[in-house]
Amino acid sequence: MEKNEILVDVKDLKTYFFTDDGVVEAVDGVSFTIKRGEVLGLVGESGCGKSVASLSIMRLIDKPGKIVGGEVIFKGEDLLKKTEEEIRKIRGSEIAMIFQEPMTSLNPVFTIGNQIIEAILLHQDLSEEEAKKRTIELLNLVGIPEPERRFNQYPHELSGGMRQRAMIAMAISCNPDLLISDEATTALDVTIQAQILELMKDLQKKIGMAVLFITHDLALVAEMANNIAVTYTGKIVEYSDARSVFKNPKHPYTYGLLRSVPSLLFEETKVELPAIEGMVPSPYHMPQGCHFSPRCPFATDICRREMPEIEELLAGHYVRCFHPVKVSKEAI
Amino acid sequence: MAEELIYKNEVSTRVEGYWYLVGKHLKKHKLAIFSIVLLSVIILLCVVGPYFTRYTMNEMGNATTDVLQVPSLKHLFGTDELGRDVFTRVLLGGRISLLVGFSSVFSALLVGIIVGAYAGYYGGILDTVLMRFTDIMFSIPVLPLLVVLSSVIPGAGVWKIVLIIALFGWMTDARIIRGMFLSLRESEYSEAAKAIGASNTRIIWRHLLPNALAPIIVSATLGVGGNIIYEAALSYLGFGVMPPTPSWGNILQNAQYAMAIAPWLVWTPGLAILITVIAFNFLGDGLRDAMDPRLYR
Repeated sequence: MEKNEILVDVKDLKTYFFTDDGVVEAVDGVSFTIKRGEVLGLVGESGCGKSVASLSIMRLIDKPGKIVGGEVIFKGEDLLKKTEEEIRKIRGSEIAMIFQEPMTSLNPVFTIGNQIIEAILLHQDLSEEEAKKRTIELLNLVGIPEPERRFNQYPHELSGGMRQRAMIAMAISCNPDLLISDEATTALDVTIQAQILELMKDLQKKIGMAVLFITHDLALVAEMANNIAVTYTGKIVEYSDARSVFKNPKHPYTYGLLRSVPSLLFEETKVELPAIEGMVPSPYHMPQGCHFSPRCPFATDICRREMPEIEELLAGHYVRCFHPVKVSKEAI
Repeated sequence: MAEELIYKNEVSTRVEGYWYLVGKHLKKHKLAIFSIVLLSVIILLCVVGPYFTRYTMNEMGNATTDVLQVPSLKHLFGTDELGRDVFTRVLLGGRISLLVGFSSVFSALLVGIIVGAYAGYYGGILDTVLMRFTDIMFSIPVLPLLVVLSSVIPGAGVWKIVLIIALFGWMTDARIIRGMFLSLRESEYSEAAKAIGASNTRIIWRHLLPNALAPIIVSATLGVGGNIIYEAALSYLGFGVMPPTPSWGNILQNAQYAMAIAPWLVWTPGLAILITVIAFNFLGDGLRDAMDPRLYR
């Protein structure tokens, strides 16, 4: 297993939703790569297509949604070309997913142990006994105390944090190469959030899996990710390694996001917290030109006319903007 | 040490399981509990009772002295026009009536679950086709058709009646289950099941169906009572279980000829049907209240 091997290569992925009110381009030409053992943070406001992108990789898009174009190369093979049967073998074993709502992602009528055993038995050739042993190991690994007792408990008997741990145990049960974490910590309170994050970082190092970490919380990505892709209205607007994005944001949107993170500094200086003006445009009425132009303080005529292409501004730092921000973040 | 402390805080207090809670709520429903006791007694009597009575099903008494006897210690429910012991026949008839009631509900449920689950889960064209078919089945006047079918389909066995009743009894179940599946398929655990690589069939039967169990059980309980009535009606009309095999329906039918001079012949099978059906309805009612998800969510 080569360290630098590219595990996932998403090329120009397009997922549209064909609703009665029109076509929504939820994911519109998204490209990124994740190497083995690497963490990519996918950041953006709600409704900008982060979840849809991740579900597209798993091929879990339901009607009226449809993957209309692009490629998802996973271990050298295009997932979008696989049959339903083949993709099912990959789901859960090679690519696993953790969902946002630990409260509702576990089936209320089965015990925690049962559900993890199922995930194991679906993909691994183990006996019930071995699967049970492995489940208790997993519960232990994700830091659930008294795993033997928890094994026989129902989801409603566990707290949110515990449930998310159980979800993680289920996700890593088959040692996946890629773990997709879709806002996995969003529904938890901050202390639990920190624990779960710590756990994921820890497991990621132990198992050596790559992680696609989806969130709207910039602070979390800073903790986790090697690379960051910032999305806006279904397109990636900035894509680089985490350090560059944080220290040197080039896209006005990223710049605005980073500026709008509250800090104690503002409290002291009594400066009002800068926010990005306006709202995410309605998916049915996308503005002409750059989708961010109506909210962008730097927008000019060309921005309102044409959609800029994503370009490599600095080495490895891609930006979709005609007027990239020139100041570094410290200068704010 | 610090970590241990955090874990302790995370552990929620123990909550009882769903079925335990259902039982607890059901206990408060006095009528339902009474019905359970009553039904247990009736079922027990019907199943083991006939082994202990002094008479057999078709044993006829003396043609002059044992015909149309008033209930007495010798014949608890009296005798019919052939001198047969009505008590024995009502117990044996109960076996048949209950058997028909349970097995027709079971078969109807099987059809209803398959139709409803697949229609609700897959949606689209399959849903439209299956549900329009259900609508058509619903709009057929059942009783006349039951009568026609039971005379058209050859044979006189109990299973024919079960088949006929089940054939027209699955639609309500199908609709209930479709409704459940429409919402269940959108649930996050359904998506989570897909994400661990479970197939659609597996998701339907293993992940979603157990979640739809509560309304199914309620509907089945009420259904048993309803189907006992159907069986009685069919037998009463002479298209159901064929004599000499007794069922509550045909004992009743048999009794009507002598009703004027021997009213007890009508009372016992009639009351047996009435009590059993009412008990099933009360129980179903109690279960519906006890399983109401609003009590637990």
